[in-house]
Amino acid sequence: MKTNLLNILKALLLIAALSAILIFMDSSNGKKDTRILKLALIQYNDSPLSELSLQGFMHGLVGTGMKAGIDYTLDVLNAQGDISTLNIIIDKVVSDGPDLIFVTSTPTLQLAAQKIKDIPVIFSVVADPAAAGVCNSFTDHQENITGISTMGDYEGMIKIIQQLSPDTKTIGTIFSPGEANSVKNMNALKGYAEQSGIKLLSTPVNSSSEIADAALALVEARPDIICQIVDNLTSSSIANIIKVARDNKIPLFGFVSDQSEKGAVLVVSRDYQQAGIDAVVLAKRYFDGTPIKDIPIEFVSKTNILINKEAAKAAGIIIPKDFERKWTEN
Amino acid sequence: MSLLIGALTIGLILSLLALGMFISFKIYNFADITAEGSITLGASIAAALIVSGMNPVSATLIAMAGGFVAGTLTGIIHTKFNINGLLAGILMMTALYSVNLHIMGKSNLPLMSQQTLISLAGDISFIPDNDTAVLVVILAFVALIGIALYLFFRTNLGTAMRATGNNPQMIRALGVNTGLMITLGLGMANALIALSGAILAQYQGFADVQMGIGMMVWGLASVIIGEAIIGGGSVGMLIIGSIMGSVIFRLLVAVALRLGMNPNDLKLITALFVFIALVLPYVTKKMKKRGVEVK
Repeated sequence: MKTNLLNILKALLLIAALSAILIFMDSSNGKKDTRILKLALIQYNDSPLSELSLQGFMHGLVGTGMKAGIDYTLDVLNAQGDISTLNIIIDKVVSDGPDLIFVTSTPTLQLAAQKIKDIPVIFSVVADPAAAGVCNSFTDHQENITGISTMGDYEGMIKIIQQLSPDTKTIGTIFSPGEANSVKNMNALKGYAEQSGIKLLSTPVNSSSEIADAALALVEARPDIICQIVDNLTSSSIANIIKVARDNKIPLFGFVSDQSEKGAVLVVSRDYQQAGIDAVVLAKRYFDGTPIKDIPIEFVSKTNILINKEAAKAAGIIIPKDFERKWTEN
Repeated sequence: MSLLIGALTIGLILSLLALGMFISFKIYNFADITAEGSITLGASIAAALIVSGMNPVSATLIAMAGGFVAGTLTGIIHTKFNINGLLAGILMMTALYSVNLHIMGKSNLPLMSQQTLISLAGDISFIPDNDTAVLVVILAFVALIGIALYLFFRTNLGTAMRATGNNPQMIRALGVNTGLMITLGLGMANALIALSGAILAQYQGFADVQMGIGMMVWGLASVIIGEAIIGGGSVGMLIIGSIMGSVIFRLLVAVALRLGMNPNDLKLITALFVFIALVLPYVTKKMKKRGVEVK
């Protein structure tokens, strides 16, 4: 019994000591050099998206003309995909008292929205900030939060389709009614398509095992192009859909860059490096005097087009030689 | 201060996960990876119900019930179909991923403006600072759960469950159905883990289908660190150890971050903490033994 109490006391002492370290180090951080901007970038996991955006942030900061270490310091933290670590990282950054915090990906943004109320936060690589619950519209957002949305470029996709094959009447997609994102994306594509007089045929799926059948059902309806929207279910089974489309000589267009290698004829994807650069541009506007609440959320300013020539040939669609370059330059 | 309060709060919320892992790992010696699915299950159920307008207390209780069902299913797969425990857990965890997607209807569900247990905790407490108030309420809640668990393991049923882990032949000879005891125990463990997930979702303001990743290891780490410091003499000490282990573990992570460690090394360092906690009791025991021999 006595040793038990002693051990509990020991553990309590350890907790007290660790707490004391944290309190002591917090207060020693209190003095702040006001000439140097203190920036922090918080990422949720290690993925090509987070790495590309990190490069973008670096490029963007170079573009502002500020010098690292002299004009600003940037503290980059990554939770390595662990949500409990992400919680502690955000608390750590807040207690550092930075001038501005960059965040990438949806969970990081949501935690920041929950925990940070008085430090400006600029997000990037978040597809749909409204669905994440941090804004009502691009202009009506939490007062200290704005950023860059990387939602698929549905408008751009329809424009490309019209340029490449002007006599397109119908396009098709598979969607998953169980996913709010999927329904939303499908409706966005439908809206832009109908504005241009194109009809969208959509086939619902509820599980990944239904995707092969759904793809067959969709090609049965003979759309001119399959334009596959992004959601969890179809993203993971995209190879299946691409194969069915290919067997039936219907070109498949997508929105995720790695689908190009998997055999999509054309992919319209957001440029994640640009997403980082654009976020820094918003930060610059804030440092130049515009309050965060007056800076609207924006879409990424650049979209990339990837063309798989071999797949295009197989589907019998002719893509002008320098279409890719011309489109990107415009 | 905010880092300290944040680390303590997360440590206490995840101590419920540690208590669940204590039941499966220390009582049944069963490294139950169902935890990674059931913590998300708890979060998804609570978030979906709160968004649909249910009050957060009932939503959290239903989330717990969901975790109980998941745990008993793992138990049934393990005991009735004689499938290896780790495999049974993996099967359940894999299935729960889809279940969680269906419950939320998408991969991520925000709880930004809804009333949650956390906002309730801020309201009922006398402490003006909201974060401190939440911390105090969670501390009291975890203490209550710890005491309830201790009392439960002293009842006949609780004793039979412990005996099932210690000496299944003996307890079977006394007419206890060990399969049922394991299934019940895993149900309880995952109910606690789902409770942890439900509270975590309300604390951080969202549930995400990926949020369970890595959780089993953190839960085990807390149990092991607690046992290394407090000792595993009795159920009571193991329960206190699991709770304190979880808090100490989060504080260690916070201190490591505060000291400016390269964040890419974070997982390496946490693995090192757990390794030290595993080895420390063994080394000290060996040194004590040697001391006796010399005498």
